[in-house]
Amino acid sequence: MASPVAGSGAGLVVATINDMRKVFTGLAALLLLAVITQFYLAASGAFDAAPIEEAFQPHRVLGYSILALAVVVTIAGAVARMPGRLIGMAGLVAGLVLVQSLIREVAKSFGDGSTVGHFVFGLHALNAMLIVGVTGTILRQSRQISRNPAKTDQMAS
Amino acid sequence: MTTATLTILDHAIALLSVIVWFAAGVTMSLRRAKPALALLAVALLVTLTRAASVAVLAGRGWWFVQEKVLLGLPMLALAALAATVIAGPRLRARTTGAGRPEDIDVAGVVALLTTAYAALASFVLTFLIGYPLTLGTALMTIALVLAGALLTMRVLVKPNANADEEPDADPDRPKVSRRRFLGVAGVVVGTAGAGAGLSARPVAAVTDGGGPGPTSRATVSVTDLRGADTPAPGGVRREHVLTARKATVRLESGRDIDAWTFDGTVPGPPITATQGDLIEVKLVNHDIDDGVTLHWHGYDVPCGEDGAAGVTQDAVVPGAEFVYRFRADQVGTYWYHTHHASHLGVRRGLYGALVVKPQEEHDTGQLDLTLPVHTFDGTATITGGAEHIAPAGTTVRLRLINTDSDPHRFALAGTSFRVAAIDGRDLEQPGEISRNGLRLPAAGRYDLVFVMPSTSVALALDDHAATVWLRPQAGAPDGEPATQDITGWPELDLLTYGAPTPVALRAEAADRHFTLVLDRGVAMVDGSPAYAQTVNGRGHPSIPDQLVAEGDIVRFTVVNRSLETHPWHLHGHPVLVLSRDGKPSSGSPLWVDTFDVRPGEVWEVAFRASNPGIWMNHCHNLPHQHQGMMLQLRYDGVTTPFGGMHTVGSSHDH
Repeated sequence: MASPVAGSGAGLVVATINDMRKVFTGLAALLLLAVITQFYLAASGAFDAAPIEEAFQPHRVLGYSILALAVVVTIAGAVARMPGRLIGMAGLVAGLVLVQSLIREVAKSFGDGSTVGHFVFGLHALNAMLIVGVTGTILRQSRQISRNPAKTDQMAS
Repeated sequence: MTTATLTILDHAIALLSVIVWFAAGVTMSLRRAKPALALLAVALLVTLTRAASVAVLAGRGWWFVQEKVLLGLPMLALAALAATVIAGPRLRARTTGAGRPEDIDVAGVVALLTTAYAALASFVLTFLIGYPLTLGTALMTIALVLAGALLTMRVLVKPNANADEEPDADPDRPKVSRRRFLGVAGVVVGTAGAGAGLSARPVAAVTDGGGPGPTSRATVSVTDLRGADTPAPGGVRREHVLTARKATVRLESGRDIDAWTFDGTVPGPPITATQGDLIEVKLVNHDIDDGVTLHWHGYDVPCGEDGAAGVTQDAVVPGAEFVYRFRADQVGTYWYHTHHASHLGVRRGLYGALVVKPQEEHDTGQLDLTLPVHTFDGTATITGGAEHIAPAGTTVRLRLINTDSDPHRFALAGTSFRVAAIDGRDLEQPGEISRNGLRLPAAGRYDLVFVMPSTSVALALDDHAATVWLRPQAGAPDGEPATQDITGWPELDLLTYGAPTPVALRAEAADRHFTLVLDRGVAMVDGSPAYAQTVNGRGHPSIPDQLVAEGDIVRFTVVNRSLETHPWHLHGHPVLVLSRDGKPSSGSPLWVDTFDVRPGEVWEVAFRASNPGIWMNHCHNLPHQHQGMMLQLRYDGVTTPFGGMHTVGSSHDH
C-alpha cells in the first residue's frame, strides 16, 4: 500500500496529499460518469430483444465495475485524508451499489413474474437515483476542496 | 422455515449488522454519545441475533454456514467485543458530560468502524466466496479488515484540512504512531501476501470421491466408444439428415423470429423410433458459425455419440458433418439439442424431440402428443398445441418436454391423470391424480396419461390460460377447465408419488461419494475472472474432474447454497433419487437425468458407473452452465483427443 506518510517531509506530504485529492476528484468524476452510463445501459437492455441474461450483460458488468470503483474511491479518500464525511459518502455509494444487486437477488427469489418481485425490483431504480445524488454530492464537495487547497499549503509553508 | 428463507433471513440480519455498526461508528465520530451508545447496544443485539440465525442455519448443513462459522462470526464477535470494551465506557463517560465534546474519540470510533468492517467482510465473504472458505481467503479477508482499521485511524488521528486544530502539534506523537502504523501495515501486507500465496497454489485436477486414484492401465479414447451399427433383431434402421441452418421461423403467435434451426423448423424434426431400431443421424452444419453438435438428452448413448463439443467430438463447423449412430434401447420421451454454445443455440431453436416407443405397442386408437415447451421473445409456448380431437374413451399420452433453462408449471384440467413416466423412465404404479400442478424442471420430461372423458380437457402452462385443448368432438364446449382456478393447485411432490419397490442401488454402499455445493462467487471461468456460477467455489474448467471406475456405485450430494434453482444434469446415466433435504424418496423409484435442486435444497442421488466415457456433469440452466457451473465425470482409463469444452458465443465478448 503506497503511503505518503512514509519517509518524506511535511511539505512533500502536503503536496502529495493535494495531488491525491485531485486524483480523488478525478475518480469521483469517473464514478459519476459510470453511474450515468449505467442508466443508459439499463434502458438499452430493457429494450433489447435478447433474453434478460444477455440483454443486461453490459449493465451487470458495469455494475460490478462501479462497485469496485466506489471502493477504490473510498480508499483513495482515506489515503488522501479527505474529510470523513466524503469518505463516508463514498463508502455509502459502495454500500448502495451492493444493495442494487441485493435488490435484484431478493426480487428474483420471489420467482419470475411474481408481483412482489416486481415491486421489490422497482426499488432498484429508486436506489439508483440515490446513488446518482450521493455521487454528485461527493464530486461537488471534493471539487471545492481540491480547488481551495490554500489552507493546507499555508500549513506546509 | 425453508433453508432458502433462512438464508435470506441470515443475509438480512448480516446486512442489518453492517448498517448498525457503521451507524454506531459514524454517530460516535459526529460526537453524539447518547445515540451512539444506543446504536452500540442495538448493534450488539443484532450481532447476537446473527449468531442465532447462523446456528439455526448450521442445522441445515455445514455447507450453508462454513465460512460464517469459521471466519465471519468469530471475526465479528471479536471485533464487537473489542468495540464494546473500548467504545462502551468512553461513550458512557461522555453521555454524563454536558453538550458535545470538542474532540473525536479516535480509539472508540476506530473500534466501532472496524467492527463494521468485520461485519461487512463477513457479509461480502458469503456473496463473493461462499463455500468452501480457504485459509488463503480467510487471511486476505482479515488483512482487508485490518487495512480498513489502519486507514480509518490514519484519517482520524491527523485532523484533516477542514478541522481547525493545528496538525503535528506534538512533533513526537506522529513519529511514534507512524512507526506503529508502519509495523501494523507490514503485518497486514504480510497476512494478505500469505493469503494470496495460499490461494494461488494449484489444485488437483481430479477428485476421486474416496475411491482409488487413477491407475496406469491401458487407455481407451472416447472416439472408440461408439454406438452399435446394426439394429437389434426385428428393428429397422432410421436414417435422418439434420441440417443446422439459420432461418426465419413463424411462431404460433404469428411473429417471425430469426432462429437457428435443424432443417428450417423449430423444434427440429422429431426423431421417433421403436425400441431396438438403429438411429442414424447425419448432422450437417450449413451456416451456424459457432458450430453445432447433437446431444441426446437423457439417452444413455455410448460416449462417442454424446455430442459434447470439445470432449467427445469437435463442434461441427459450417460445411462439415458428423454421423451419430446408436441403438434405440431405451423407451420413452427424450430430446436432442446442440451441446456447443448451447446457452445460445438451444435458446435460438437448435433442439427437437426424440421419442422411442415400445415394440409391443399396437394401440392404434391412442392419441400420443409430443409437446415441447420453449420460450421465444419472453413468451413460453407449447409447440404442437392448439386443439386436438380425441373421442371419449381414447387413451391420451401427453409428452411434455421443457426445452428452456427455467422450470415450468403445468396444469391439466378437466380430467384425472397419471404421471406415467419421468425423464423417459416409467414410474411404479403412479396413482390417479387431479387438481395438481406439475413443476417440470429445465430439460425434464413428463408423460401424462389419461382416458379421454366426454368433456374437454385443457393443458395450461405457468398458470396462464390453457393453450392446448383436447375435445371429445369438434366444437365441444370448454366446460369445466375454463372455469377452474388452477393457480391454487398444489404442486405434486414426485418423491412421494407412486409405489416404492426395492432397488438394489438404494441399499448398496457407495464406492465413491462426491459433494457438489452450488453457489455464486468470484471465480475463474474459461480463463477470466467472473462473478460465476460455481461448484465447490470454482468455475469451469477449473472444477476438478470426478474420477470413477467402471462398475462403481457413485453417490452425489448436491447442495444449493444459492438463491437460484439449479437443474442438475449428468450425461450418459440416469440417477436414482435417494433423498431430498434428508427425507428419503418414498414413492416410486425415481430415475431422472435432470433434477431441480432449488435454493437451500440438498439432494442425494446415486448411479452405477456402467457407461464408460468422459461425461459432462452440469447445471442445465444453460446460462448458468456458461457462467461456470459445469464439470466432467471421467472414467478411469478413458481419454479424449479433443481440446476441452470452451464456452464461445456472441455474448461472451465482454
